[in-house]
Amino acid sequence: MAEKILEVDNLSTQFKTERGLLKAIDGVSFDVYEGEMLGIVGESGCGKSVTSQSILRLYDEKRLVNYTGEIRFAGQNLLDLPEKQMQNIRGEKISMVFQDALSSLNPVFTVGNQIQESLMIHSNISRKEAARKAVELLDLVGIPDPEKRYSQYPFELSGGMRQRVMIAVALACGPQILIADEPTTALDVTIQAQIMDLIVEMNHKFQMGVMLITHDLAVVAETCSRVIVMYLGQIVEEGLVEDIFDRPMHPYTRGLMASIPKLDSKKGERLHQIRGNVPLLSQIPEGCRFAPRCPYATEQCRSQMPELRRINDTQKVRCHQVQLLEEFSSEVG
Amino acid sequence: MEDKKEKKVVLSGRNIKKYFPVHSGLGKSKKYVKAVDNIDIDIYEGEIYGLVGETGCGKSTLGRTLIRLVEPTEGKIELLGRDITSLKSEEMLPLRRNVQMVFQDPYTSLDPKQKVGEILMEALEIHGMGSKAERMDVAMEIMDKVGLRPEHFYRYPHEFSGGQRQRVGLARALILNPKIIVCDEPVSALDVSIQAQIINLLQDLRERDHISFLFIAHDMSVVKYVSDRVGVMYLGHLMEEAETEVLFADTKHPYAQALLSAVPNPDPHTKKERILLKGDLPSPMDPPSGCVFHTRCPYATERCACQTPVLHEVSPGHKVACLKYEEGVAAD
Repeated sequence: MAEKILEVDNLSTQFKTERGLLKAIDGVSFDVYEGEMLGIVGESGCGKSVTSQSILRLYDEKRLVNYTGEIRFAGQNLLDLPEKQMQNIRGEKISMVFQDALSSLNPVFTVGNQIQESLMIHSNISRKEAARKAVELLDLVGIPDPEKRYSQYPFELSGGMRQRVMIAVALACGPQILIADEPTTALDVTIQAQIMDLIVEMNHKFQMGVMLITHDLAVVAETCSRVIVMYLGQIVEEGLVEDIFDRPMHPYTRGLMASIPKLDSKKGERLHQIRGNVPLLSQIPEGCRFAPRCPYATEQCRSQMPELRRINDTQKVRCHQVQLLEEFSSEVG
Repeated sequence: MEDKKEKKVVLSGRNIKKYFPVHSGLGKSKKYVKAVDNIDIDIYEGEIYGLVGETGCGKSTLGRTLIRLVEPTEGKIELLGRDITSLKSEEMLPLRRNVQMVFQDPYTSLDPKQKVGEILMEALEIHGMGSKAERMDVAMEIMDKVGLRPEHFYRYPHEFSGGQRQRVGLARALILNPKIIVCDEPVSALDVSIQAQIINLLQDLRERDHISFLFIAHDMSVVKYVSDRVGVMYLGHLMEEAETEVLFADTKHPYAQALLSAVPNPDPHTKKERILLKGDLPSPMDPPSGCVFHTRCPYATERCACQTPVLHEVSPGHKVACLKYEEGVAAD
C-alpha cells in the first residue's frame, strides 16, 4: 500500500459552551494514504466536518476549543505546532474545499486575485508570475475562457464554476492532502457529476490524498477506495468501499445503506428506516452510542462502550454483536 | 395499466405561463424570466406525480402557480373540474382546503411562536370547522396519523428535530382533508434515515386516504421511489412525461437521459456510462431559441436551434418534447 501521509490518533475535539463541554468528536483514529480517496460519511451532527476542520485547526480560538490526541503529519504533531507554522500547513500542504463556494470566496475580489493570493502567500513569486499561474490553474480545473474568468467576481460565475474556482485555490500550492467538505451538496446532480469527475481527475494527476466528507453514500461508492462511517462523534466502521457496501457490519451502516432510495429499486417497496433520531451531543447515551436505536442491542451494549475492532485485514467495526452479525450476513449470503 | 380516461383529474393546468418581470433600469426594455413557459399538466386522483428538474427549471414556480400561490401570467387552472384561474381570494378560500402545501424547509415554514397544536388547529379555525374541543380532537387524530405523540401538542417547533418538523408540516397540510398536496422538496433538507421515514409516511397516506401529491424534487432516486408518474422539467418547459416505470426504463429525452445518468449509484461495482452535460444552465431571462436544451444537447442539429419541439405522445401516456422523436422518426 502507498505511504501513510496523515495519522489521526485518538483525536477528540471539545467545544466549551454555556452548557458545559460538548465533545463533538471522541477518540477518532484513522490514517490517510498518499494518492487515495478516503470517504468520511455520516449524517448531520456525526462529527465528520469537525474531524476535518480539526485537522487544519480551523477552530483555533483557544478558549473555545479543546483538542486532545495527535494529528501526525510530516513528522510533526499538528496540534503542537505554533499558529505561525500552522499557517504554512494550511493551504500549502493540506488544503480544503468547502461546501458553499459563494460564501467561501471573497465577494469583493476577482477570482483570479484570490488564486493569486494563495500562491503569493505560500511561495516567493512575483505578482506577474502568480497571475500567469492562476490562469493556468483556472484552465486546469476546466473553466472555459480562463483569461476572461480571471478578472470576474464570484457572483458572475455559476455554482459549478465557483466550486471549480475553489478547487483551483485549493490546488494552487500543490497540497499533499485535499479535504473536500461536502463539495457538491449545494449543486445539481449534473454539475455534481462534473465536479466529482474533476476531483477524481486531480487525485489521479497529482497523487494527493483526498478526504471526501459527505452525507451521500452514493458519491462515496462512485469515487472513493476507502470509507469511514461516523456516528455521534465516533468512527463506527471503516474499510474498503467494496466491503462496506457489500457487507456492512455495523447496524448503523446497515441501516444507512438500506434507507437510501436506489434507482433500481422497485416502486412502492418500503424503505428501511432507522428508528428514533440522532440524540443531542449533550445527551449521549451510555454504552454503545447507537444502542438506543439498534435492533440488535443487548444489556452489554447499553452499559459498555464497544471498541473499534479489526475484523479482517481491511475492515474495522465498533460493535459488541459483530460476531452475531457476521454469522447472520454469511447466512444471508 | 389502468385506463387514464377512467381516472378523475384533480388538478390540471393548461398552457400555464409564468413570466416574472425583471427591471433592468431606466430606458432599457423590460425583460422577463420565463420561469414556466406553456406547460400542460394533469394530476389524477390518488396519484403521486413527481416533478423533477434542476435548480431554476421552474418546478417550484409551476407547483405554486397551480395552487395559485403565484398568479399565472397566462393559462387556465382547474381544481376538481372547476376553473379557478381568476377566482378572487375570498372565492378561493373555501376551495383552498382541497389543496395544501408542504414546504422544503421545515425550520422556516412553521411559526416559531405557535405551539404545534395551535399551528394545526389554526387551519380548522380559518375554515370555521368544529368547536374548539372538536378541533383539538381532529388535531390529535392527525398527529397520530403522521407519527407524532400526543404530548407534542403543547410543544414549539424549535423543540423538534428536522424530521419531526416535517411531520408537523405534513399534519398541517392533512388536517383539512385535502384532495391534493403539493410537496416542494419535502425531504431535501433531511438526512437519509429521516428521509426514509417521511417517504414511507407519504406512501402510507396515499394508500390509506387516496390523496394526490404533486411531489417536487431534484433527486431522481427519491422521485422514482415515490411517484406513479414523472415529469421532467428544463428551463420552464416540460421535456418528458410518463409513468414512472416507463420513464426510467425507456428514457427518451436527451436531457432526461443525462439527468438520470448523473445520479450517483450507491453500488461500487457498477460503473455506469455518464452522459456529461457541457456547461451550465442558460439564463432563463434569455433562453436559447428553438429547443431550450439545444445548447447542451449532444444530439442537437441545426433544426433544433430554430424549431421549438412540442410535447407529444410517443406511446400511450409517454410524452416527449424533442424533435428527434417527432414525425415518428427516431434519429438513431
